Amino acid sequence: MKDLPVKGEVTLQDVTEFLWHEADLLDRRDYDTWLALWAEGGFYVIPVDKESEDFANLLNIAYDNATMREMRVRRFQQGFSISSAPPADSVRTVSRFVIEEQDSDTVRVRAAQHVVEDKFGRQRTFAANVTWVLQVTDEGLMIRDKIVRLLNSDGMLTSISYLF
Amino acid sequence: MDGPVLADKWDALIEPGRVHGSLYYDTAIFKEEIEKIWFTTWVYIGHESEVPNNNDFVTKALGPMPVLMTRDRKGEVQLLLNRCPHRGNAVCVLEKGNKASFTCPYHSWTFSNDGALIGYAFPDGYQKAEKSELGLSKVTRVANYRGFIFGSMAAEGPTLEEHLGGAITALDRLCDNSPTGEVEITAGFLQHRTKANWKFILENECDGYHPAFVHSSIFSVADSGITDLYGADAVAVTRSFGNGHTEVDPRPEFRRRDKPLSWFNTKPERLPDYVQQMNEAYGPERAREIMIDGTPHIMIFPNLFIAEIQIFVIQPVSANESIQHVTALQFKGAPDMNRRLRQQTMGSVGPAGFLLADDTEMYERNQRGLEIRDPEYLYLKRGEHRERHDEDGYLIGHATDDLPSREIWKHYRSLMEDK
Repeated sequence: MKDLPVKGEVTLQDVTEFLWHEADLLDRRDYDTWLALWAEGGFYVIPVDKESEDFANLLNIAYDNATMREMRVRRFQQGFSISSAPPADSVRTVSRFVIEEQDSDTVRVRAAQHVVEDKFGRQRTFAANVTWVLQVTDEGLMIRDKIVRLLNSDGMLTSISYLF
Repeated sequence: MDGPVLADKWDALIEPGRVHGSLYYDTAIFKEEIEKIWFTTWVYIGHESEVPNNNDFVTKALGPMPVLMTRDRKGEVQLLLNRCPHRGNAVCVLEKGNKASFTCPYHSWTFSNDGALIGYAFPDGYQKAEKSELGLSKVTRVANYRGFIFGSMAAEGPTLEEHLGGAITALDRLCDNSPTGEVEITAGFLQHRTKANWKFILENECDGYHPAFVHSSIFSVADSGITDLYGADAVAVTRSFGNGHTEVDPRPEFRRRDKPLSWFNTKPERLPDYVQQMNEAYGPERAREIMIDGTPHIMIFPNLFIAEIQIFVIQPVSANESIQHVTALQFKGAPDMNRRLRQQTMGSVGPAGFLLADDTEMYERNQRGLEIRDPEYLYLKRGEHRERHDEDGYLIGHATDDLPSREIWKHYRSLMEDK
């Protein structure tokens, strides 16, 4: 049995393992398992504005609390959403992990993410700087916040029918 | 002989109740539209609240052409063309900011934010250059209705009020829903790229036939309360105001429900501050009427879609590509209402929204479908037999009828045929 991350001493190895697991879940569209990775109270955010942290007072591409995340996933799964039925296939790479700060309960990580999607014979790529605030619990790491800053977040975007 | 030949062309392309597929993909027709529609008629540019302070500016567009919307030193809103009269360079490459003047980076010509040429580098090289004639060009006519700024590149033609006609009441209705009577556009824009012709978007906005199918995913996960509006038994109507302006009018349904804020799928208890402000501003009786009727759902030809809680600004890029610029409406001085407007907007529209991603998928599949050459025409006859006039003389139909499309094409044809 592997060791759980130690509060206040979470290592790069710990976060890398956890975030690669998350990336793998998302590429396999195992969204129920992904939902269970979340701690309470946080947001999945895809901001438009490149600088602002004031997500509540601006429009974002996504600004999901637990209820909205659940609804987003159900909408993908039920097959009625024409933009995600069939879903795009995705392959993502998450790398360049940096632990920005940590205290006894949380660790803040940033990383680079590239996603290539394939659907209807065309491929698209998205690059993003992603920040996670991870909660260190007795069962291991959980996601409290995830902020996906797309490189072209304030540009003209095509539809996004999966999770970053 | 030109006259009859031209008339034949449009006769063949736009028939009563059906239109030819090439109208959506032919690049020559697209170029003609830019001249005869986008650079002729009134086009929505932006809202004055996007440049609240003197010297604010924001980059907007008139059709495919970028426009610099500024508030000059005197507080006047200006629509400038971002092209240096010297060699054509852009004098501003920022999306927005606050500047009293713009300097072209190529040869340092400097322009005031009302467009006037203030100076150029090494002036002794010019003997007789008339500074007054070398300012930035402007959108030919600019008009402001309740903060909504429209531009027209035609020197002559109908006034904005004449162009809007009955649709002007929708802007009034919208502003009435603000306790201060003012709308603000301050939440930032979601920009959604679509590989489809702009007219597919235009026609979809008041198409009440598709929501029950295309939007079943949002209805299945969220209790949106709008299924009643777009079913076969709906009492909501579609209306044509003429000049290509069309709306879905759900007020008959909301009045039947007789519940304030039912249009927004909420209750007065959830927005107590807003309700109190409305009562104070309009008196309880009028406030109740406004809060039952809600905001309009209107497509103002050719590019401003007011969709109850948000606006879409439709921008044509090419025959088969368009951008939808979307933002939440905000009512000046109503923070609890505005928060909900932003939340609902984020959930529904933009690239990852629960509604718009599905609409956009439809536009793109429509566009691809036109590559299949038979049948050559699109069929728009739904509800022809039940068109009728309302008490104001406007044509109305059932909420699920093709009346908006037919009326848009009628106006489109009148503009395109106009010599």
